[in-house]
Amino acid sequence: MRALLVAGVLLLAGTAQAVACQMPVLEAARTLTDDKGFALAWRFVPAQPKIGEFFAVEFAVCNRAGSATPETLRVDATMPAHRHGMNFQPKIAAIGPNTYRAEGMMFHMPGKWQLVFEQRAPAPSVRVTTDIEIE
Amino acid sequence: MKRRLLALVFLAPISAALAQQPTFTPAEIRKIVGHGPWPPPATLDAGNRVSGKPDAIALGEILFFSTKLSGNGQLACATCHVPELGWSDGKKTPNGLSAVDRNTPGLLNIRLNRWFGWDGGSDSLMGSVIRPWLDTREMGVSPVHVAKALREDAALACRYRKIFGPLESDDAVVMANAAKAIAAFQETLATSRTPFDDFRDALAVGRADPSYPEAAKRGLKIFVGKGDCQLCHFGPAFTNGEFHDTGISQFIAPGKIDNGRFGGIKFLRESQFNRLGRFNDDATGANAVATRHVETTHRNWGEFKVPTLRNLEATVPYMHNGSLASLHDVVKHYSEVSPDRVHSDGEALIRPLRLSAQESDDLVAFLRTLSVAADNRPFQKRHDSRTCE
Repeated sequence: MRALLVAGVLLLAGTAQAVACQMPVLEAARTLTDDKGFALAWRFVPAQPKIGEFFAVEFAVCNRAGSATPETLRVDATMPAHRHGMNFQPKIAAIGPNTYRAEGMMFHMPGKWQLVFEQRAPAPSVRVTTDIEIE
Repeated sequence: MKRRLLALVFLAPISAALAQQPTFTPAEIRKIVGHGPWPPPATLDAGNRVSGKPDAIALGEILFFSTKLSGNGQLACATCHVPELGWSDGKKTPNGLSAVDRNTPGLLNIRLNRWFGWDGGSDSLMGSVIRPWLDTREMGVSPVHVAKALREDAALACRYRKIFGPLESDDAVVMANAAKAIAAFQETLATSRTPFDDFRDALAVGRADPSYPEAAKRGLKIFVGKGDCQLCHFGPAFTNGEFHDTGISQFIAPGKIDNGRFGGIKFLRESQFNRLGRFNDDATGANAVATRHVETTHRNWGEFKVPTLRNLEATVPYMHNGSLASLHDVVKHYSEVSPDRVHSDGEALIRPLRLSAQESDDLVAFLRTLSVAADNRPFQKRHDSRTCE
């Protein structure tokens, strides 16, 4: 089973300028950035999720105006072409400074998935996505 | 000249036949190979401490065929789960103590499931045994009834003690243990290798399998191609183990609907027998990850579990309400289904496949290669309910 990074797409919902910060080190992570200075590094655990098996996403956030907490973050995965998301609700916990782990994720079908990260506070919220092909 | 014409006349049908032989692209081969190998490795249920234990399997077999664990003393698990019918009952919907709304699912390969029942209202085989016991439309018994039946039958009580120790005073514990024994028995119910598995294994190593019917190959190409059936009927068991709205009516009767997975999740979360509860033998709780993370969403309305396609021929009729009487009817449904039939807030998976008559026949021919008649012989009971071996 392969998880292929196909493309990265960034969306910024808001207008405030991001504050530069030091990204926590997360080995073998892929990065997502936007043109406002927001940055996020993420990786699958295990590295190659299999269809029908639970996995986690670990990610580090370069905050803007203030620190994120697990409650202000959201990680999700959807299949836009099928108009559905996962059948499970991930739970996020901090595992280090500005570093988090979303547990309880599963790709239950093969095809194109979109991984979604949101930081909803402090305002304005930020949403970044990246497309993943799961076979 | 005449000889050349004759050769053309004889070769023409052969060329036509060759043209019909399907070839598979590398992507299709990867998908097909993903439906194996079969059988999958044997694993034990961490949530059931008697999983795989011969004494528990023996007690489970006896209890499965016993009518003592029903409200009227006349129903057994085997009343609806008939071995020679793929451990289903051949009826559209069954009658327990009264009419039940959903088709009886087969039990072969049931150990491979994450969720049990058309709505996934149980997260373990143990839970799936207890649910019909407590349902007043099905077996209609209480923990008190089950525990009493075990305590008052000397042979059953003896077998129980050998596995679990003295019969506990907590009736719910006795009932859960009895269900664990039946679960251990059900884990042994599995299908054999099929013609498809031989074809798949040959394809995986680049070998031809001339015995696999051409019509089935054409049907398989539709299954992994035009039909995209493998999106939901994924992997060796031909199911992703999850839930989808396939456009089958949710109405049970005028004004009464079956809310499917939505109700299943609510039932699961309220059940004291789910894996978050005290009857789960996995002290680490690792086997409860699905239960911890499942939440209801609006789209769950009208979703039902994707069934395995193995041994499909024996489990007629089909779909959660048994409304489709044959494999041809099922293929016709997916060929003609209107996306308007799907819940408006639901996923956008269903589209009419618009198969020709030949394509429909080919798809059915493929599906038939997932069954072997030997899996549906009458079950030979191996244990005597009157003794304590």
